[in-house]
Amino acid sequence: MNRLLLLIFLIITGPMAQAVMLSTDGRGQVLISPYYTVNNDLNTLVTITNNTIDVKAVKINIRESLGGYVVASYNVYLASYDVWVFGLIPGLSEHPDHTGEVTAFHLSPDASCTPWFPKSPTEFSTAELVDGEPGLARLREGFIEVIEMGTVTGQSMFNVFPDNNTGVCQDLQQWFTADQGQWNPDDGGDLSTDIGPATGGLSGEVNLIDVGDGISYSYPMTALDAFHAPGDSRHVSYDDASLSLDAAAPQAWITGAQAPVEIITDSGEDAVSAVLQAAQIRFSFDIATIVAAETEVALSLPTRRFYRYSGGYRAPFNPTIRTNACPFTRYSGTYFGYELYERTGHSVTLPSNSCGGCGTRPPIVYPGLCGTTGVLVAEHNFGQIGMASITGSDNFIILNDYPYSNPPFEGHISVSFRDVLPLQARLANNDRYLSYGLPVVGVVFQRYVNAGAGQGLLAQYGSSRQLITQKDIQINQLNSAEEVR
Amino acid sequence: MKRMNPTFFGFALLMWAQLTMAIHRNPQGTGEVLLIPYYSASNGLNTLVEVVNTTDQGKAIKINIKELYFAEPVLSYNVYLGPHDSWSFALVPDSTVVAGLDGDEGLRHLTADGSCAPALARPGVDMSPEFQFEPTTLRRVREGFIEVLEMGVLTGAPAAALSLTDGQDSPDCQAIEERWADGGIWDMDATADVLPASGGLSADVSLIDVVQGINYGFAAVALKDFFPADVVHHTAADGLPVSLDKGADEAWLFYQNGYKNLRFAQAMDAVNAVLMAHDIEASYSLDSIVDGRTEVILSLPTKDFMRISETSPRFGYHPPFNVDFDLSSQGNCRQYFSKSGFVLDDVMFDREAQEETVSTGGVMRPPQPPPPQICFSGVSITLVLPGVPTSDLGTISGSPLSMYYTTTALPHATENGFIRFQNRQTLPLTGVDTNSGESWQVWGIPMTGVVLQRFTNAYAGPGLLAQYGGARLIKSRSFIEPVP
Repeated sequence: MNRLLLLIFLIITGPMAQAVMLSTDGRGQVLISPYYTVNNDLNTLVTITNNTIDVKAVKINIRESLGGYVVASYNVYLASYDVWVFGLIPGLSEHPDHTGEVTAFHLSPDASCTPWFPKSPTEFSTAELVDGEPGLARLREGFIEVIEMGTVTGQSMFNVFPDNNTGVCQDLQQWFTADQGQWNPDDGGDLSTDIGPATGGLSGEVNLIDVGDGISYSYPMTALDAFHAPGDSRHVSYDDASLSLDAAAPQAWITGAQAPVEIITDSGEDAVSAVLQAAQIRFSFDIATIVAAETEVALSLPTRRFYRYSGGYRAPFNPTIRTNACPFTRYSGTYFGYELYERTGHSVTLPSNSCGGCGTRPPIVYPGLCGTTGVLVAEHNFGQIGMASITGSDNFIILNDYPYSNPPFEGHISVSFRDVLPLQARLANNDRYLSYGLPVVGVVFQRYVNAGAGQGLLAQYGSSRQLITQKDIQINQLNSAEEVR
Repeated sequence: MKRMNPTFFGFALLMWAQLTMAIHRNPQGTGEVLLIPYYSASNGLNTLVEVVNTTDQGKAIKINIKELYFAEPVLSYNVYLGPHDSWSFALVPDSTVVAGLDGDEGLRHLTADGSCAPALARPGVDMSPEFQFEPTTLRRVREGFIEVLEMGVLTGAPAAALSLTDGQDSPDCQAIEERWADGGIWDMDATADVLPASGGLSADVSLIDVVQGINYGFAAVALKDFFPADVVHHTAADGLPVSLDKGADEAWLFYQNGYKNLRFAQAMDAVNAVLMAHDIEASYSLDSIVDGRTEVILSLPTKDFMRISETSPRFGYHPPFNVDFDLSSQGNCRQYFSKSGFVLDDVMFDREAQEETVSTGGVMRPPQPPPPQICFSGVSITLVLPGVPTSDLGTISGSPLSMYYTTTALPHATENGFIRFQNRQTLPLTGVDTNSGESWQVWGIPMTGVVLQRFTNAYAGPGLLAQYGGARLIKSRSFIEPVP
């Protein structure tokens, strides 16, 4: 097509209708909590708010840290402006194969309806953990998906949410299982009955609460808007955990590298991955010993499992994803390099074997980000703690400063993913879109101790921070040989 | 009439598209402009700020600290950051030693950072601005908001002065200062060796209550592609202000399921539109068992630029503020000025979506004060449970601009839920869609904000009092529609 005509066409037609995007106001059709944990006696408190007048059908998927498999999944139905609160706490397993091991439990004091999923403490399931590392450590941390399936409309809305809530939830769950239940496909029902398109407006907050140390790490969930195709709804049964991030419309708005650009992807998971993709992540660290400062970063790759196949991984992951970076039982990993910058901007970890005045460095050994959810720990080499003392993560990587003779206590760290392949998509005019990096969400945790606080006062300061991400995008102009893909 | 060659026209459009900048929020947290919605040195709070240059370029940056009543400047200075450099400072309470103000409640800016900040007193500076508008009490400096603006990318000699080599511990700040000295290069031409801003700044904030052992941490709001293309705004620390009125005249705005690029007749309206909040939501947790506290703090960083009169706020403000909306006889606006405040209509929902609204006057709701009227450039709203005397509570921030709001008293109401505010009595901004040429209206009030949350656990351990605190940015959204 003549480029001028194409340009005019684009000007006339304007933006496309619906494309997944990172919400700028924290509200959307899909929410992702970058991290949950019950390690270290932490409790995870999650609050989901329906900020709209619409009644919503929402899927909650809690996914473990290595393979990203579901360990708890249920539907929750939220009235207009309703809030859903649940907690994840540690407890001892009663699974026959894991009796007495520390595992995670879900519980809720909330009155919203969760058909056939109990509010009382419910142990995470191991049914989906078909491969990989044995043991329950992998499910004591992970990430959470919250997906709006649609709006509840018609008579169902009034039936589900009358003025008096008494008995409502029992009635609702019968719709899935009773003879001729309206949402029971096995007996003439239809899951789309009285379900309208998703309208967004969900928001979520997470609090990791360290009860014993008196610290709360509070952070928002990452919100994706315009997730579903226009007019679409995906209402699935209470026991169907298959609804996930691959259900997105295969279009995305990309922000962060330049002015927002709209792309068309090959799949729903590619659209979400493109939105979340980061070539670099950055975070400030403080490990000053005088206040026992500690910094950890929890990272999740929520679409990673969609790119795994029997022979390896698809782009943006490297097809020969490095097994020597991580054990195979942790589903391998992606190498990454990192640089520490002290507050002056001095880079103190350079990818070479020499540095002025500090002698010969040992060869750089790139660490691997293993599995789906992991924790990076900033640590002095001489600290030798060798553990993630804030999160208690079982899937952690130490970022130490061994090559440097005079390591900093404060500064920031830049992490770059290595050996990744470009995720490819196209613009509406068929220009080729390439972006490098991994689709990642994360949160930064910081903890200090004030030993000089008042008597009887537990002065531990904890906070969480937004993870800074940077994109690396190329848009190649249309090649006449590949005008139409 | 001579017709433009179509190919040339297309080329011109392409060039225009490449050169035009449109302001937008960057959810990834970096940009040329960072807005820190709140700082406080009241109530024993210290504010720690860390600005990071995530790029490999040297940067000239303006830091503007403004108080919360009328956004009057409290302190403004330049800082020059080398590649990957960061700048840390603290705002702490202080009894000023400025003559004539002894004993008043002041604010001190502290830094131990080695980055170059010409003319900034080290390690600390007492802030004692002469306010233009009443009240002129120094107490006003104790809270406000902070702007961080990239003035440009450094090249040549200044860039070299900031780039550290192995073995070099600090930048050559003397070389930077000499450029601003009388007859210095920047004294003659402030744009020498400075290229347009390129972004990549990020900032974290910690409000630390040292005595209570609580850290309220939050990030700045990042604005990207803020300045017009090819424009450098680089001024001396005591020179012309560089602030939010220097932005481009276009903005990318979220609309339904995508983005819309609008151009505004007044450049200030582009940044207004990006920050526009038609409705605001904040969850609250006031659980008695853990003495839960929730405070919503809103700041209006662009309001002062919309003031009609240079000499007084009494004549009101340009849209989106409504000059015809007269608050002179109402509430807390009465004392200082009369026009262009606005009202926050609220709807309160408990955790189970039991609803009460002010407008319907839910019969179970205790008597309320008038709906929050925002007269100034900021406000603090503390939520309280019905029947709890506010005199027993105090606020987290200690703000003198605080107001209390009572949550739902419906039977069986939970002690947590969320409140939704809608900005009322505002006027729309009008912009033109750069794709279609259609005119669109943007409704709301430009604002940023943060929600502070605190709990107390009296049983953390024998003899131990554990306090938990957290912070998060407010959730807000503008309302956009075609001009009828």
